[in-house]
Amino acid sequence: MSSKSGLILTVQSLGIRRSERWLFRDLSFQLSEGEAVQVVGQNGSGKTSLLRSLCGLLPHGEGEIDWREVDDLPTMPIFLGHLPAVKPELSVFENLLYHPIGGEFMAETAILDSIDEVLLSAYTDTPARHLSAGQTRRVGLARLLLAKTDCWVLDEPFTSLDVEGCAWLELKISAFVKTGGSVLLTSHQPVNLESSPRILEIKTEGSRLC
Amino acid sequence: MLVRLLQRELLRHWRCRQDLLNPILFFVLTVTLFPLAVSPDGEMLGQIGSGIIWVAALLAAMLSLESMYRDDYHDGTLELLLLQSGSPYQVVLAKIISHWLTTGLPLVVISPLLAVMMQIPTTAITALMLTLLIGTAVLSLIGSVGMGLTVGLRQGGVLLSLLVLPLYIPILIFGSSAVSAASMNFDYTGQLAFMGAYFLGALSLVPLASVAAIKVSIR
Repeated sequence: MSSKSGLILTVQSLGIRRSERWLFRDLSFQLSEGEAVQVVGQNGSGKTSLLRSLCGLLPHGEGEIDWREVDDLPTMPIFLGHLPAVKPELSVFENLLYHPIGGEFMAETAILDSIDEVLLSAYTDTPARHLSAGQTRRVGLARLLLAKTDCWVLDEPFTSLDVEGCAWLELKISAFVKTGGSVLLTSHQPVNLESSPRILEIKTEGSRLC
Repeated sequence: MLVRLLQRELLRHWRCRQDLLNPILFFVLTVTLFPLAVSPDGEMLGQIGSGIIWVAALLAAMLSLESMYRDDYHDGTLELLLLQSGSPYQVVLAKIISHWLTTGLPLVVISPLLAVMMQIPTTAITALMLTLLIGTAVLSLIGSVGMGLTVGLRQGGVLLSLLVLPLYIPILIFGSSAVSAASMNFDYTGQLAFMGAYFLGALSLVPLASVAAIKVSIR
């Protein structure tokens, strides 16, 4: 394990329960700066539940989740889930303008740059309901570029992206990790990063970290 | 933060502005049906008019509660707002204010027209507008808790009315009694004071309750 000060997230004997059934119990791992962790497991093993409870969207049954605190404020990760979080009646630009990221609203120039980078500049003022699934996904990815957080939590980020899009996202993740960011992601495909991600496997009978 | 969140809500409502007409149309249509169904007799209408307008306004505002969180819940923006805004209370407050501005306020504005139609004495029209002003705001507040709780359910409509209506009955009683008192030239400040207190109580508790309710729904 890397040095203690570089830890962004510490999880201790975490267990998540869905009504009567434990998805998993006694899961412990740490996430440090400049590290990518890929969560793998069968469908229904609790990958999404794990990410959601780390972000505070789902109460966990037992265990501890500790985010690194800066000025007494815990790190606020950016979470990209299954739902696009894009309002169909707002344009691409308005979607980024009116939704806060990390407790603040983004500046217009930064938003335009990020739209450029996710190759949606031709659609800046198009209502998001006219976008395809992959393009909607890219609006979510633009949020990653705008966020000033230390941690990305990505739930199946590669769904509905084209081949170039996947390669682009892998590049972005590598670059983010290089600058000291940490990434927690789930994916069923192998992820090609510059330094391959640690694998965290979730099983009901006990999880292990490879 | 609150201003930008409010801008977002109002812009959304503006993009789907045909939905904004529904509560007003419902309000006007329901009230206009009563003289046809009961009796066009002026004295009779003057007596029951305030109650009819109040009930119709309440139902009209309740019809539109559904839209408060539902769309945001289904496309994931509610999660995003709760997680990334840093202050969920402001998110909820912006939703409540925009709901009131888009449904409550139009009902208040159109109510004098209906009051004239129902032959309510002109002395009572101010009382009607004042009580509706407070009453619709309270409905937006209380409705936000009910909607927060039922947003995750597939058929939350009936449950929503069951949750919200009992809390709203005091406002209905005091509101319509203030209007009848005013139409007989009595003092109605007592009823207004009670409604004001109810409004302030709701304003201080509802943001906490709404955020808790939404957190239960999005898990």
